[in-house]
Amino acid sequence: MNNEIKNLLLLIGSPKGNKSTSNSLGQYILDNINKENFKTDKLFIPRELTDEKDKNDLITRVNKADLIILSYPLYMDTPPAAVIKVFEFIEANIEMRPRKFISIGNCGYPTASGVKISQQICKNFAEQTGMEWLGGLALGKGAIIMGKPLEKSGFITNKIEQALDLVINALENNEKVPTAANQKMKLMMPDWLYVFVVNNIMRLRTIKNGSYGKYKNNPYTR
Amino acid sequence: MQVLLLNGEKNKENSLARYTDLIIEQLGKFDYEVVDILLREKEIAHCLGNFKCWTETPGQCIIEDFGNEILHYYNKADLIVLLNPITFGGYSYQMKKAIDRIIPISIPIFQKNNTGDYYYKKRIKNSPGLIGIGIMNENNLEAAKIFGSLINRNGINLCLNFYRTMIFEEKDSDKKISKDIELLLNELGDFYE
Repeated sequence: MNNEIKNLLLLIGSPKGNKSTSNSLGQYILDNINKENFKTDKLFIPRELTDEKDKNDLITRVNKADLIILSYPLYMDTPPAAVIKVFEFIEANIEMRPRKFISIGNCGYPTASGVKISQQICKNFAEQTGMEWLGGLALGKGAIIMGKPLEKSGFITNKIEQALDLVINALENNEKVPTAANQKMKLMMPDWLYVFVVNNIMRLRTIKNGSYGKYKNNPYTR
Repeated sequence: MQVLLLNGEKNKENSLARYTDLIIEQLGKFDYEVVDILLREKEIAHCLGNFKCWTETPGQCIIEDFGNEILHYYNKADLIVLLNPITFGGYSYQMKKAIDRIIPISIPIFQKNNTGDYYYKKRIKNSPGLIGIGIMNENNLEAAKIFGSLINRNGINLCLNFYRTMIFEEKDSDKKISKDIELLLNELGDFYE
């Protein structure tokens, strides 16, 4: 690692903001990366990028960054609409210079396989905007973390912390996201248990909201 | 047959009206009834990701805007056509804000398909078919490939029986575009028979 301090910008792409799994994952990197080598910044992607002040703020911080980490949830197989809006805006306004990009995608499905296409989209965005793609991380069972700091989430996030440590180490050494990081990027919970827990959390919420009887209804039936 | 045609053009300067006209002309030959929506003209807020459409008002988004109209048309349609300027391999922002809002069609119960992938059960009994028409920037071939994978993935997750991708370049002639659409609609006709 050379001694030059690099500007790291973390973009959180979840509309749930600091209560999101995206925030938990990204914040872990900010908390644990060596501050002697990286000056860190974090921006929650605005829900609606219509305000000129928000646009200026976003592009100023993106232009300043040497490394951008995007942490996002999967919505219908791709990053949420707000992230796509930011991608389009950055493409039209970015100051081209050497810059690096990493994505961390999480989804509510038991496995992370569905995140793959969204990573390809992030990679394509990076390439189209002149950034070097350092790789992506993918996490399944993301619904369990829900904004909790990883360090306070118990043993189930141990491997995720190990994966992120590998990424931090790679960044500090100017390297790409190692394959081992993706192999470790798993919540320590079997698929069947996750399915059981999430299915029942949703059922309990409908009972609490008095909507259990309409749980499978389709208000738009033909 | 009812068709929902969503146009995700980014702005007036990059209009996809030419393609819309050709698609509607071909659909007309098959006597399909088309609802044509130019998404950038519609007020559709971003999905909040709060799952209230699953646990408070099942099947319906709590945001009262055109997003719920999209759901209404989705449920009525036999075929969805997404006309989309391929954007980094995915949907344009205009298309994406609408796509994110169809999550209420799912029921929050995980199921596993025969390839081992998990998906959510659907409220809708007869899922429509899907044609994703990507308008490609010739300098970004990789993006076109990603778009094809995305349509396939959406097709699996939305439990659709029929999903196809068509890619066009701006330089393609009207004749080629019309011919390709006609061929696909013939295939679709066979499928529905």
